[in-house]
Amino acid sequence: MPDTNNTISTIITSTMGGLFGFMYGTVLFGVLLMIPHELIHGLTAMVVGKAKWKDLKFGMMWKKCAAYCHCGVPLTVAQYRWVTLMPLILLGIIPSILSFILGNSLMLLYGMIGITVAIGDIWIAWLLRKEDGSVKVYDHPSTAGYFLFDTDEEFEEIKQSI
Amino acid sequence: MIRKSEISLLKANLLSLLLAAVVAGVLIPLFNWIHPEKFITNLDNTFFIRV
Repeated sequence: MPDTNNTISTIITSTMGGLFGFMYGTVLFGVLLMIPHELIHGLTAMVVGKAKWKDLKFGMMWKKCAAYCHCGVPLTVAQYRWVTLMPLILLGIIPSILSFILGNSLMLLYGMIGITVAIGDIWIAWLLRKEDGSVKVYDHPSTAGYFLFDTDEEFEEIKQSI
Repeated sequence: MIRKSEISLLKANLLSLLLAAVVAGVLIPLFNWIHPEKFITNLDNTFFIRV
């Protein structure tokens, strides 16, 4: 006669272990995704905004649970849109589309995490939706936001105020 | 004219939960409809499930 208690215990343990392992893996992946996410912001600023590596500042706002990449040179709104949305495209939208083509649900899961962690970037892009692409923008160095300005004098004023 | 915009990271973190629910609510049923046999089997073979 099979040991019923042992069988039930095994089923519960393996199910819960699998579920917690899966949740742990998902959260861990979301946290680890911050690194390539911020690197893509920086690399896009270098490619489209002609920023240098030394102009970029990477860090973590521990109190707000958010990683950041600050670009120290002003960009146009059109360039800033690319910088803001590139991690969403590369780590969220493309893996999600590929998952449908390849039939890979794990890739879909990671694509969904890539979309979810880009919420701040989507919000910034939404705020900029009505701005002309040629307007100049300076990334806020210490919080999630930006300054829009027109002239070099205004840029100097911004730099002195922060 | 200088214009400053900021977003609240606390609200962004809360919104990300909402976005996760919406994205999962749309994409998972869509994937399951297109590849009905693959959704669970792919995940079942992952390292995290096996652990």
